[in-house]
Amino acid sequence: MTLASELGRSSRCCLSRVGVPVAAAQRLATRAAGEFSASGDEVGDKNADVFDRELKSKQRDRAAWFMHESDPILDTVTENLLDRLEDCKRMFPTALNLGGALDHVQRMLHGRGGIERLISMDTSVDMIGRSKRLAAMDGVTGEEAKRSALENMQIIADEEYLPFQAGSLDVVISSLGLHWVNDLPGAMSQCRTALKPDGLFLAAMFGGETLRELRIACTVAQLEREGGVSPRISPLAQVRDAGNLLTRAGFALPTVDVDEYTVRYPSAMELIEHLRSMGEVNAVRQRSLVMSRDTALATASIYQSMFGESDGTIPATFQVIYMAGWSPDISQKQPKRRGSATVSFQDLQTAFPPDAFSKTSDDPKSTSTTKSITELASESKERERTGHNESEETSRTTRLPSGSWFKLD
Amino acid sequence: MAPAQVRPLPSPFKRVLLRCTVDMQAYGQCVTSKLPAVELGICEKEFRALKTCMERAVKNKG
Repeated sequence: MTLASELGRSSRCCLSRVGVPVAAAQRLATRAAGEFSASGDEVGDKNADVFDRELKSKQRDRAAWFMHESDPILDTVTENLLDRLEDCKRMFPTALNLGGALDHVQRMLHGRGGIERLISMDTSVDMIGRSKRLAAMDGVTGEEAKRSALENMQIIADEEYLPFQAGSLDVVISSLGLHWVNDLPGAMSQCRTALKPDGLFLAAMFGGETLRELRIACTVAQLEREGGVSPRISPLAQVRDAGNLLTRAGFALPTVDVDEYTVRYPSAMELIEHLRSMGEVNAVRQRSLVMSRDTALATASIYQSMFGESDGTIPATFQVIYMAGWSPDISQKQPKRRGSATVSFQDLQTAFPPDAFSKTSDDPKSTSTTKSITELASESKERERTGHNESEETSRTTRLPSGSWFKLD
Repeated sequence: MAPAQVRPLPSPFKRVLLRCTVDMQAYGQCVTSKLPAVELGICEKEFRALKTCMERAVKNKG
């Protein structure tokens, strides 16, 4: 698979010229060592992949033509994601834009994060063509000075075989692109390898609650019409796994937060059309290839009656998990070594003696002289709730020993 | 946040949705009432009615 044909400016790109790209070689090595990926496929067995990548690429080809210029979900998610760039003091000259809402990222970047070079990557040819057209359009109309100063490159490559040299990227942005990847921990650790030290990894992907209503309606309809169930909604990462994914890929300072968007549609038909235009159609390998019209009809009816609102519209949940991680660097704060603590929880009791918190002497709670931390915490909460007066507060603070007993560094 | 531009594709399914709302509701209510113990063909009668309406709707235009 030659990638050089797709690059206009190969002299300035960061592809490794060695036979097998560095990150992909690492991935093959870990596979040989017997690591299992999150999707549970066997080592080295391509047919056990959860998602059919070729089909996904064809679906994205189709979506490239159907995608609207401004899509509410993609716009909101991309905006939220790119906003996080502004929270960083660092500048990121080279950025990789992994597939998903490719051209939305391109369009909404507005030079945030000091990005000068944006490499857009996708497996689908038409998506890349769309991204190219967008880049060309900006140059012609000459919109904002910042946007036209952005150097755009497009690559056709697979997220699971990242063609970048180690330590070549400053930031990797993936707006709704990683939830169709088979080996998600592998792809993320390849990203980490490709990033420079203290590089940023920003991703937004759909979480487990996404399209909950559609999944329920589909399942019930299939049970009633066919007597069996086949996966119609792809398996999605759970929020609780997102943090593990980041640490497993080797990222430092992981951050995960979740947003839930509820979008209302006139009917189930519009929902499916919208999903198709975003390229989010089912590509799970195990799916049954045909959805009979009966079942589709049944799904629409059940969706309407189970979840329909009073005005006839139906809601659809999109849960988006925003993940952020930094590639390790010595400039980052490290967790303290185990056993290096200088104070213990016992000192809390000497600093705040139990009788400092009791309201009256015959308080039923203060029977024991020494209390555990949880009791102290619940007492302080109770105090806040009952609106204890200020005098006790000031008396408590004067009891602190001189010098801080709580070291922060 | 601007609303998505809905391009109305003249699909037969849409016609069905517009014309058979009563039958769809009847079927939907039947299944919802039977939850969570839904089995194969538990609302067959309502579905037959819905299917006839659908076939009529699809045939009349096309």
